Amino acid sequence: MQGMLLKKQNGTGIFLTNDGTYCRGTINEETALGEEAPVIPPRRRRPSMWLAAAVFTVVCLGFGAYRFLQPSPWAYVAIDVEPSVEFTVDRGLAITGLKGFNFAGKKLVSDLGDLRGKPLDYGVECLLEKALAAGYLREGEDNIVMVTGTCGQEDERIGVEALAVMVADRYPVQRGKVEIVALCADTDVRRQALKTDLSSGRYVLQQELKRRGVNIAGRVLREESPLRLEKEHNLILSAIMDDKGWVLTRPESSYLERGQKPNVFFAAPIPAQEE
Amino acid sequence: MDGGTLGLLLARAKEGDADARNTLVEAHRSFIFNVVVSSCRRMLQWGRDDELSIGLIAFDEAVTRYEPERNVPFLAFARLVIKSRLANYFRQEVRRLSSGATNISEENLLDDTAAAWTEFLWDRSAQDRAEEIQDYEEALSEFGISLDELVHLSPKHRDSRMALIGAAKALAVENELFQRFGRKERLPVKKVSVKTGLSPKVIEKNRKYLLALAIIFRHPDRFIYLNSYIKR
Repeated sequence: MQGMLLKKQNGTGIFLTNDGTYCRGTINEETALGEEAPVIPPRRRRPSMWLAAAVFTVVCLGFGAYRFLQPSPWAYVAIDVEPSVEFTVDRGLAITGLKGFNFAGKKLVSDLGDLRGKPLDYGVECLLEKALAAGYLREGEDNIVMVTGTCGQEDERIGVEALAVMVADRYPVQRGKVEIVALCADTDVRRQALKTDLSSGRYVLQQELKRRGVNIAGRVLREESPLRLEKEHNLILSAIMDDKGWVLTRPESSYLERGQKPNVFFAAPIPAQEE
Repeated sequence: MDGGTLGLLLARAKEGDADARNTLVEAHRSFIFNVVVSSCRRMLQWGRDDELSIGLIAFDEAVTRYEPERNVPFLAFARLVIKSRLANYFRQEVRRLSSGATNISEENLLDDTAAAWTEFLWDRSAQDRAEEIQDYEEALSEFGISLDELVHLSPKHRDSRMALIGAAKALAVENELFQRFGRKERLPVKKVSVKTGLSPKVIEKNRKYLLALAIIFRHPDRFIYLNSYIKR
């Protein structure tokens, strides 16, 4: 764009273009008044204090809004195989956080990457597949998966039945038996569990064992798989957890015979093992 | 006279067409009159004052010497030639009055160095242009308009500008409206609306911009460079 220079002002000038625009542009010092020259828009001036203040305000409001809009945790779902991992979910059951409690759990969380925003069942599926790939779940062998839900309010989706079905549907091992122990823990239980750095499920198990006079070191309880705990301490987890009326799930028969993933079987309360 | 006709007549006049030359001179008698009067700073009359005759001769000379490729509007060049010839005349008159006799003719002297003189005129055109721009800024300030505010007031859309340029031309020929402007009265938006065909809202919004352009179009002899620059 060309313009006739009308005024010079500290390295810039006011031009009149032949289509009637009065505009500002940078000028060559040699350009004389009335001379036609290319109109180059001047560089933007540094933001004024007002602009800086406005940006600051917007940023502050933005952060405030962000905090306001950030959904507060709605529920927590802990999965214990050998890795001990807890999902934090929002009201829509989208994952907002993931935490590993033990060494295996922390490693698995780092392998899972960022699952934030993904649905809970997808996260559980990923976790179980990673556990299978890492050898924490094994084809053709018995496995135990504990799933523990904590929700501040009543929510059927976080109920024991729903959680058990979800794990069973996403369970990746085709051969061998699995026992899915689904629990519910209230927020107080979860708070106590966090103090001892255990998942809610393992904390409930610890409390039940204590009540029955069985002492297992916290470090062992945190790091071992439920299956190994059963074997090494001669326990039946389903029986231990049963007396509070929590639901236990396990397959009716071997997966090999069915040729498909197991249906979830809700066991009737199993009588406590006689000592 | 529009630019196309002027260019055509100039070309023909330079090729020796006497009719074209006469047409040009006749068409620009008022221009010549205004330039001479502004230089003499007194009222003049055709047939009585020598200055006007000098102006006519100078205009004719401008037709001869004009070079379109220099990118200077013809009328600006003609104004320079007229002013230059008048300046020579005044110097000559002063010498004649002081010595009591006419010495060497300044005109003859200039004729001897015509090429150098013409080159001087072309160089002088840059200064002439700058003076015109300063004059325009002063004219704007008389109406309380600054170039800085016009930067912000210029319509962004080309169509709007074209419409306002057309309206400014219509406004420029309205003596009464312009006199009211001169008295710094409020712009009679409704009247201007009727004259220009623009809505009162557009006129009110672009009042200063419209006036800034109208000033250019109202004084084609005074703002020759600006007039020739803005698209008609």
